[in-house]
Amino acid sequence: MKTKDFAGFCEDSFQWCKQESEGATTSILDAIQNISDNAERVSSMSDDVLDALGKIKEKIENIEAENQSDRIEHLTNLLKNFSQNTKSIDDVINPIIRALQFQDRISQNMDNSCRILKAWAENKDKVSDITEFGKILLKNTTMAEERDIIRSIIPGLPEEEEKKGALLF
Amino acid sequence: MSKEMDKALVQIIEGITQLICQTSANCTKEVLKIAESYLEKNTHQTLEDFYALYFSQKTEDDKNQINNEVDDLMNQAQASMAKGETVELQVDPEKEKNRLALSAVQKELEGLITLEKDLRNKLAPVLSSMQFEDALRQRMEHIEFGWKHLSEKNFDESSYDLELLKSQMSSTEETASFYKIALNEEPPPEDEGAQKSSVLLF
Repeated sequence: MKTKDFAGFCEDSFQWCKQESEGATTSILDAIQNISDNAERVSSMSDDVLDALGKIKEKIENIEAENQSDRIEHLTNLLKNFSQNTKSIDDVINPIIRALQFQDRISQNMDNSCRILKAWAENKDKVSDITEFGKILLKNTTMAEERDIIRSIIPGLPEEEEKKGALLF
Repeated sequence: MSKEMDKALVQIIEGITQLICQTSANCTKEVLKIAESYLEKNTHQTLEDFYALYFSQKTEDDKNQINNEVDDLMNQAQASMAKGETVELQVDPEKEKNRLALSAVQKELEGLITLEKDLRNKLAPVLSSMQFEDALRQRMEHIEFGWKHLSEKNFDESSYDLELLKSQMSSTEETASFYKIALNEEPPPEDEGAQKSSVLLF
């Protein structure tokens, strides 16, 4: 077995996980339906919250997005518009926003892992300096945590300039 | 120099796969929080117990070890019977406790689903998230294991233990991908009842 072929298998696994992540995202949205249907029975959810959930549900059905990341961005923006008003709404909506954001991060990690593997295969025999190699890998990331991992392994890489925290919470 | 980059890549992939597993666990915890607002208290508690037992990082007895323990017990019984001896099983009390706890919670969940008509739909988001986390962990562990093995063999392609790598694959789809892409071979025929391509059954 060639090492590069094993890398190809890993890329395939990352892509499979990304696809499954889309299913998991849809499943999170199904929870909104469950809240609307059952919240009154099991918790003291106010009419305001239930109204908000009904509106969210309607809008979710009309969201058009090109890919998973776009879809999650639209969804979280929509949810954030309903949030910040009252604590009772935030308590319900914030876990949904966080769960969606976690799925988005997983999806990005999958894409970036594939890009890192491709960059390694293309450059490992071309680049002679490990720091240069590290800089190439950094360009294939979108998240500060990924860059932190690369920096912790390859010395001499530039420090992070922008602030961390794609998550709101 | 190339080996240095290979080794750096292995560590980076290891770091990212661990980050992915942690993010997935965080996601499941949020989905459990969401479910708290529409599930009955006892149902939600059962789900939390199931999750804690199934994914517990603290105990050594994860679900595979629990299964191994069951296999061990079966082997002990078969060996004793083959020798014509009385079957006296040696059970690790701590492992036994965890095995029984998990199976009790699983039974409780099955009971809940049967009892309440719409419960399946209500549990679906949480169980899907747990299934996704479980599948993701397995895939990430296999990737991590593979790269570590390659690194231990100093990336000498002639010395990779392919049987060991093959033995890590846990679903039909993953096995097929490994044979086709990593080994450039036709995958073995599918077993009856093999795992479906999507893990999300709910």
